[in-house]
Amino acid sequence: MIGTIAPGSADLLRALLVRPLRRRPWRFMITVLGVATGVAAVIATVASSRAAVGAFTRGVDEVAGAARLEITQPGGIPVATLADLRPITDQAIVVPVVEDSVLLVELGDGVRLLGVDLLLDAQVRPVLEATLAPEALHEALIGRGVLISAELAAELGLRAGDTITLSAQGRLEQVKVVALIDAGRHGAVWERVVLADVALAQELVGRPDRIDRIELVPRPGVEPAALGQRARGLLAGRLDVSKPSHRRVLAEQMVASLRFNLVALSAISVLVGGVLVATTLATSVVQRRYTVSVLRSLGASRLQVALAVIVEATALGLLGGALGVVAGFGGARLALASVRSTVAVVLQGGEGFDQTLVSVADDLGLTLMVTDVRHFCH
Amino acid sequence: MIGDAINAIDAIDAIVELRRASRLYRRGTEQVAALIDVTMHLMPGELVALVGPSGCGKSTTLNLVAGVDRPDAGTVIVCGVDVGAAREAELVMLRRRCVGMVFQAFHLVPHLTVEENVALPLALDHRPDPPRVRDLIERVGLSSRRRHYPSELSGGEQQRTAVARALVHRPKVVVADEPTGNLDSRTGAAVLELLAELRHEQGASLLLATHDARIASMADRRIALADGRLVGAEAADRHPSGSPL
Repeated sequence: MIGTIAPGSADLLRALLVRPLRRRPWRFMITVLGVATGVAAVIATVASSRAAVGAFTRGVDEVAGAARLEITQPGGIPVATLADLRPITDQAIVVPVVEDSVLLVELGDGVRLLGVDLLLDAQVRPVLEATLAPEALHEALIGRGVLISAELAAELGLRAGDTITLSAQGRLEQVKVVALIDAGRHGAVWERVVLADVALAQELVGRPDRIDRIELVPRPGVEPAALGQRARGLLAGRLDVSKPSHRRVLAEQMVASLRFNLVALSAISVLVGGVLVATTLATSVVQRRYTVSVLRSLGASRLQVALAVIVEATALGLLGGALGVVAGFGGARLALASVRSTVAVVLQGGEGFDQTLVSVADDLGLTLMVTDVRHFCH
Repeated sequence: MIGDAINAIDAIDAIVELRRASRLYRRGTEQVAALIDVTMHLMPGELVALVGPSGCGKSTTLNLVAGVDRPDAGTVIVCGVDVGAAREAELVMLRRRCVGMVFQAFHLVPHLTVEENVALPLALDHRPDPPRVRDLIERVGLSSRRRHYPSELSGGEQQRTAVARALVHRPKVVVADEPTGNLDSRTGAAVLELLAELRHEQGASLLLATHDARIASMADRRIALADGRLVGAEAADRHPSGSPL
């Protein structure tokens, strides 16, 4: 037996709503959790999908650098090609690039090995400008020195001067971390990148005589179109000289494909989440049907019943929705953490905010729909 | 307005009148006639027993009289309100002001105490009357249990609570659907006696559905139903005990 209220109308009607929650909090919490799980499933899937697509798109731009033209060839470009391009170095910065995936043993996961000409690249990739202090540059050029992001170093407990092991082409190679990249706003993109001088990168991936592409960055006042024509002339049509937009088109095709898959996944998630919310609330509603029938027979009006049902459903929807939003973003972070090696992703604050609103609105709508107020009133 | 109609009922002979009332239900594609062409009435202060086997239409009749269901054909007049033609608001007022219900399974609200359950009809009508609630609880002998929940009560105590709830708003008609069906004979008799006494005090009519021939014999009249049709109506012999029923 517990204390009760004086039987005034407002208090008594309030008790009809609140008392079941007080007397059986676990039943209420389970209902709330059911709703929260449905909302969380939707938010986690959609938010992580959007973040992944966004990061993939950004990554293409950030790591590609500011190149206006690039020279490529299937299977890589012979190093000697750089000599062919020497005549245009007064018109463009010519940057050789080696890029491959390697295993970072300490991380137990794959990272992107990016080999660039460290002497030149600071003019191309803004992130290197702040990082490449003369001592670090010196060590990276003459020894087996690499740069990694400060985030990755923190994750592995590394400092400048420590050694890491890379596995490439079936070989284990030890390299020294000579500096940490303070990537600032580019952090997520660079987080899973090991940056090395192009010569070391070639050695590590076992392609000492080839590079993957050459980037041409026009110097001030030089027209990219004219530069491209000059480069084609020097290469005598042996290699493909094109704008990076070509690569971007390919990347965008990949992004489109990725986006389609993620949208499909999100749609399934919305469906599953909706069914979960609906089932949970339908169960809750069935549990209340008896009480509502009794109230109607005792003279409760449709409005009184509708208000009671709407208040309860809204409370369930809001509470479950709020929990679901928190859990959804938490789930999205976990999901993203597991794919960082594939795509450098970061969940921005605003990412999926509109989806959050949609999810909570859906949740409330579902709550009220499943509660079927009209049915109760009749 | 409904209030006027209910108050004006004193000037009308019958408090409840069914004229060729029929009620059909749909079960899948099949239509089932729960009540067919039933004509009957209930006078103020009268106790009428509805008798018949399960499925004969007793509960359907009570639902129509209580204004929780409407006839498909014919007329049902309760406290001057035509249940078939009344607007929803009128039916709500009918249930709030004119009719009290007692069910076989008690149907108390599980999360409300005895006191709150009894006060519920008045609370729904926004006219709380704590002295009346306390008085009725005392009359049904549950003063010491007024802060208990239904799950903490015996079957007899629950039904006594339901009786108090059915009478708290001073209805003109009480409908009781097998009110002793879930009780042992001794408790059932005590509850019936209490119901009869209280409704007698306030001059309410009682329409009682029952299987029990002994209970039926205590009524002023018996109306027999079978397969949804009225098959007999007769004044009952008074119980030898001289019960007020």
